[in-house]
Amino acid sequence: MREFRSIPLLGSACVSHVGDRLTGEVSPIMLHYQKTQITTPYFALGDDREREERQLEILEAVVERALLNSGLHPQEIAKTGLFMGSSSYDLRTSELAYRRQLDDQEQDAVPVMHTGSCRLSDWVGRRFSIVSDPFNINTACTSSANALLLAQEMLQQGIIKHALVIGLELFNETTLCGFAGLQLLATEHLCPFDKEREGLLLGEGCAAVVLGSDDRDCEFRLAGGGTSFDPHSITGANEDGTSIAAALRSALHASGCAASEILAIKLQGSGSLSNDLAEGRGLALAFGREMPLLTGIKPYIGHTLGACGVLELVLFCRSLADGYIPATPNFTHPDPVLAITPLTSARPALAGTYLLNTFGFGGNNTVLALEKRH
Amino acid sequence: MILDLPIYAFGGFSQRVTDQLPTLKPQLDKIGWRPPRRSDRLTQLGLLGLSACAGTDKLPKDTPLLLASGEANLSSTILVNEQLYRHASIPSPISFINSVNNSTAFYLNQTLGISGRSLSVSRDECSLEAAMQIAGLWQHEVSLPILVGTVDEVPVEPGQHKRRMGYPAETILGEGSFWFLCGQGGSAAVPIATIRYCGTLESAEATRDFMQSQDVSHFILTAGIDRQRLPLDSLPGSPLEPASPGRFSTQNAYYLAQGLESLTRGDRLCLINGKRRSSRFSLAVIDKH
Repeated sequence: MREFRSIPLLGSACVSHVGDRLTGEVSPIMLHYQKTQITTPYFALGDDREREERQLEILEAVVERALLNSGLHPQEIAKTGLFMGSSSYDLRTSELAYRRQLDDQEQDAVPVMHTGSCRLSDWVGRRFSIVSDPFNINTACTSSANALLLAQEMLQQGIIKHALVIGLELFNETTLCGFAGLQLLATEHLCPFDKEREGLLLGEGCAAVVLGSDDRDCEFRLAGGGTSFDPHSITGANEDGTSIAAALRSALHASGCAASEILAIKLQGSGSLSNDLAEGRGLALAFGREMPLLTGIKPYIGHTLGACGVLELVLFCRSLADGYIPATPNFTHPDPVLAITPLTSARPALAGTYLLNTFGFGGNNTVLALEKRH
Repeated sequence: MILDLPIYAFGGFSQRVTDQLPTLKPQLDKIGWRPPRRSDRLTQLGLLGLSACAGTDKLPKDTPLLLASGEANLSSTILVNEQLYRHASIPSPISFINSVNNSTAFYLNQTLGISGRSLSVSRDECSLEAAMQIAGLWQHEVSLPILVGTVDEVPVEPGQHKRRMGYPAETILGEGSFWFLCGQGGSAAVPIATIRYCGTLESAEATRDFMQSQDVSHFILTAGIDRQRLPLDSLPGSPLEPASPGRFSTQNAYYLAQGLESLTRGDRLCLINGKRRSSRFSLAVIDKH
């Protein structure tokens, strides 16, 4: 991947279980899903998961704030590139419709009535008078991170002047029950890299960033990123860490930074053993003795799957802007196998380059480089 | 968006689907690849399409792959939803994994033995255009061929699928997968065509004016275009009217392949496509070499 000229973050907004700041108690709700007898902690945005309208309300509020923060004029917004990443898009709408039909004993109930990934981005385009054609990225947990990378490339090559990149993942039963079926869900805590790890916990959230191609003096700039494809297993990266290391090295190359210059890394840290092994070994291969500070955000908000690329970027930036690199909740027992120790207390955030890891299903690994200017 | 994206090879597979969903086994038995264990029908369709595209059996290891799909992993998602709601059971791990929207690209990369950058993208009926636009970017970043493909399937109940998609009952459904080897083909490779432009226009008038300015010699209207808004005789160039492959979201890839087959050197094709729920026209301009 060729080197990037860094791209300013003009505006952003997000909603997550902890709001738009990584503070306060980590307290997922307990979700009882009676039909399949699943009980799991879940990082919810509220208790209105049965309301079909919530997805558009959440999307509208987040995008509106991000555009407002960006200071773009309506004429600029109209020509803004539109990028979206999610692993489920509006699947919940289909779920609710199908369940209603079955409850009404309709003979010809149609599952997955609303197909395709374009309905939400089309709606955003109409609502905010954006005329450009949307790119809906479908790479599971790396969806919105890859949407960011694609937007950066389009800005870099001068195809567009501004980009709106959205990460969205809202509650749906398909995902929750699918992860339960894979026996990947923890029963209490999400504690990445902890010897007592239990697995992952899911969450919902939405975030949007507006990127520009001008030289505005923004506090944060995206400084490129790197990807790797791992054909080893469909459910996660090779535990030997080689494909993760390749993505990290690719991001270092793109950002023009040496390993020793990276101040901290926001981990993927999904809480599963296989991720910890792959990510831990990948970090060791790429950084060796020059390991930067490490921290994980998912214990605050859960794994928000396709949204986590943009959502964790926005939350991480908020922390850095507030002057600190956030600590990783729930980390108490170091794992001697990996010797990876995430921060257990916040540290001062200095100007410099940070990396954000996003790995997931389907062999996609993506690492973003973030520059904090001041 | 100006692309200047060379195409070195293309090919694909499609079939019409009436009442019964045909098995793909006879066709799969004739190709050089075996579908990965546990992969679904969408992956099988993808492999059938790939087998018809020259050069896909000997790609450089780092070849990037772009997979465009309108409906993506529909059959597997339907299966998961039926398990959940009709049978009140937790989805089987394999069904759930196959419903994850980049599983098909994973299986195809794995089967081809390539591990370059991989992305699955969707824009309803204009998903191929989205992938071509991304390939247009990537060609400046890697000195490799880029594999751009489409895939869409008919799920197990074709009649139900027509209701899902809002198609009239008399619609003949189709499914298929088409592939285009694009980008940088190496010094010995000679492009057979170049995609010059890929973008969207708001009105019929703007579409006509644009085609005039591009001096197109031929055009194809895909099935989703309202021919009352864009009558054939109002457009510059000669219409090409390939036989319908049956209706599916990425059928424009079939039309592009048919157009490339029938054009001669020096011809310029305009492929006019559109999305449901949109009145805009999506145009791709392709030069045949």
